[in-house]
Parts: sequence; structure tokens; C-alpha cells
Amino acid sequence: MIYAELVKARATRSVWWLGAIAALSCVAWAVVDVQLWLGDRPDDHAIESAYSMAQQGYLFTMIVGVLLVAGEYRHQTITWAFLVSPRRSRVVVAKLAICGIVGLIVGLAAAVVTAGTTAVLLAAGGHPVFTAGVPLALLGSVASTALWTVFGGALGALVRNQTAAVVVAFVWFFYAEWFLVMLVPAVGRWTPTGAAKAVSGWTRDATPVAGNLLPMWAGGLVFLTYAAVAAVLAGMTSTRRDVT
Amino acid sequence: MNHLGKSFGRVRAVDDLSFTVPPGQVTGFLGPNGAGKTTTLRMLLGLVRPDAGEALVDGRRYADLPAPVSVVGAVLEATAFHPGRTARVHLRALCLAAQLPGARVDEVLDTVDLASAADRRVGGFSLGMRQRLALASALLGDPAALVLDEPANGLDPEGVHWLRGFLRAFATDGRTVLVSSHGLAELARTADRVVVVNHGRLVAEGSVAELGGDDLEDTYLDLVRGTR
Repeated sequence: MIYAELVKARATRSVWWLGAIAALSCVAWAVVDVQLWLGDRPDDHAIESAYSMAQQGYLFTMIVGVLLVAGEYRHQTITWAFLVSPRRSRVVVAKLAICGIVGLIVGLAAAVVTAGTTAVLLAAGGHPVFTAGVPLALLGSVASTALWTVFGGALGALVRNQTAAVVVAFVWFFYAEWFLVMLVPAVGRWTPTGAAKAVSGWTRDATPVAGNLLPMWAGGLVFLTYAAVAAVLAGMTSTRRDVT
Repeated sequence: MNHLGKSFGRVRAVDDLSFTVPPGQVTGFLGPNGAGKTTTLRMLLGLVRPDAGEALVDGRRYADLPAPVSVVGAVLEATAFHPGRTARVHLRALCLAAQLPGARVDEVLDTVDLASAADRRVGGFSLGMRQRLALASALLGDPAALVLDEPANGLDPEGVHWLRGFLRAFATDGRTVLVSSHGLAELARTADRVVVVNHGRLVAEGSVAELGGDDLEDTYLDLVRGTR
């Protein structure tokens, strides 16, 4: 079943276009970071932050997850999946697993191009190219990207309508979450974005949550909990509905 | 179908509907648009949850069948394909999900005469080609029964002729066919038996001969008008 979903995902071009956009946006963030924010004498932390720009395509990778699941409803291909496997929860679990795999691939690609760009720019600026924390920053970024895709998949399974899911995500991540964190900074580390940033070891001061993040593992757990809650809610509501 | 019922909002789409589909015959499922045909078929396939009664295949609910696609093949609306995927990818994914041998993909493509278009994206398919692909999907599991919802839609006369021959042969083989249609003349030539519904209720059930044979259209119109 998981392999079947992988065959479908591989053949869906929009998924890979969005993945490429995600990776390119990471590169753009890395350029901005090194050129504008790094300063003249970056410490180890700043160097690692430049590398952790590899997770900055997260909104795109989340939409990849939305597409992978809600796209099946949009094109009514979910009918075929449910005909083959009337136990619908299995279909949803297989789809979320695929989201994780696709997210991992996109995350790895983003990490490679971002690391390459960052290293070249650091060297050109006469800065140290490598610190002991760089591998962890890149690994965290890859993990964060994969989790974002699973999160998007769970959101897509819950909302079912592709456009509505993207709008919900847009409203939450660009407005609601920001206002919330500005009003009550203490919740910043517990929001989806805060938790995901913790996974990547993010420290750059570009969001209200910076400097106040959970440990990497705790962030991962919190973020996975969000995805799991969305998936379980989807299993209890959306996936039970009639397919017409 | 056993006292099957389903409401959408205030509309009673299917109401206390009971009938049986025997093997070895083509059973036509007739009724005007909105009579509840599609809803009934979707309840049979476990896609829509009935709020009364039950729809059973070989005495079991579809969802309880261990290998459902090897028992019932379903041809539902012909638009249900991802436009960016090729016919082969669509079939291959279904094969994998149903744990069927991959060789079935080429076999069913040959059966529906779609092998030459196997690697084209479905987005560029005509309605007739989509219908053929839907039939190919339904045949993957080599099922003992076929359920088809308006399969002749979009088929050209040659395609309709081919489909009629295919369904006849499938039933002659001892298998079961349930095919919904509002194409009366076509169904009179394809089906052995017909089940007529209107407003979600059973109006008539019997062999084509019993219901007027070539005059099926007159009988049908009388039935449907009588229950309006």
C-alpha cells in the first residue's frame, strides 16, 4: 500500500515542482542570511544558523503534504483507494508515511543545495565554513522538513478540500500564529512553527519565537503531536464521510 | 440490497430498497436522473454509509470482504483520475495497493484496447478512453462481479457495441453484472433483467421479456410516470 502511494506521488509533477520551489527558497534565505544578518565576526551559532536555513522552505513542503492527500479528494482518486482498501484509516496512514518519505527527499535536496550555497558564500566572505554544530543543523532541517510534510498531509486529510486547507494554513501561519505569539510570547515555543523551528535548531532572530525554543527532541515530539492530533481527528471525521 | 435507505439532508435518496442481483446475468439498473441509482451503487461499494438496511455482496458488507477488488469490480464516474498521471501509473498503483501481480496492468489494458495509450497522461484522454480505463481498473482483480454506473456515457457507437459484447460475455461466463443506465434502448439489448427505481424506491423488477421486451421503453415510462 505504501509503495502504491509512492508510485502515485512520484508521478505527480506538482509535488516535485513545489519541492523544488521549497529548496530554492531555502537557498534564497541562506543568501539573505549570510549577506545581511551574519555580521562581520560570526560566532559558531551564527554559522550554524546560516546552514539551518535549509528548513526555511517549510510552508512549501507543508503544501506538498496537503497536495499529496487533499489532491486525492480533489481528483476523486480517493474513491479508487477506498475501493481497494475499505479500511480507510490504513489509506490515511499509508499516505502520511508517503508524506514523510517525500518530505525527507525534499528536505535532503534542500539541505544539499543550501549547504553548498552557504559554504561558498561563507568562504567568499572569509568566514569559517564549518563548525561542529553544522551537521546537526542540517540533519535537524531535514527532519523538520519531513515533519512539515506529514503535518500538511494530516491537515489535508482533515480538511479534504485542497484550496481550503491551503487557506487555513495561510491564515494560521501568516496571521493567527504571529498575533498570538506577539500577544503571549510564552506560547511561542509550543506553536507548530515554534516546535518545528526547535527541530531544526533554528536560532536566527527573524520570528518572535527565537531564543525561546524547546530542545530539539521536545520540539519534534510537540510537532508530531500536532500532526497526530490532526490525523486522528481526520480519521474520526473526514475519512468517515460519504464519498460521492 | 436489503431495505436499503439513505437521506442527504431532507432528501430521501434511497428508501426501503430491496432487490437481488443474480449471477450469470446482466442486471440493468434503471431510473430517471436523481432516482438514487448512484447512491445505491455507492452504498453497495462501501463508499456511502446507509442509514437504513444493508447492501451485501455474497452475504457480506463490502468493507468486510478480505480482497474486495477480486470480488467486485466497480466502474464509477469516469472523471475520477488524476490528470497528470498516466494510465499505466494509475493501474500500477491500484495493483500494488491490492497486492495483485503487476502483469495484470498490461492484461487489462489489452482487454479494453487501451494498450497504445498506456503511457499518456489521463488529462488528455477522451471521455470514452476514461470509461475504458475505469473498466480496466475494475477488471484488475479479475472479479466475480462488475458494478457499473452509466458506463456507456461518452462511448462512441463502436464502443457501446464493444461494451455490450463484453458485458454479455462476462455474464455468460457465470459472473454477475449490475449496470445502471438511463439509456433504455441500449439496456434492453444488453440486460437480461431490469430493476427500475424512482424517488429511491423499487418500482419494478423482472426479466426484460416480462417487462415488455422491445417495448421496455413504454413499460418504463408508464412505471416512472405512475410513481411520480
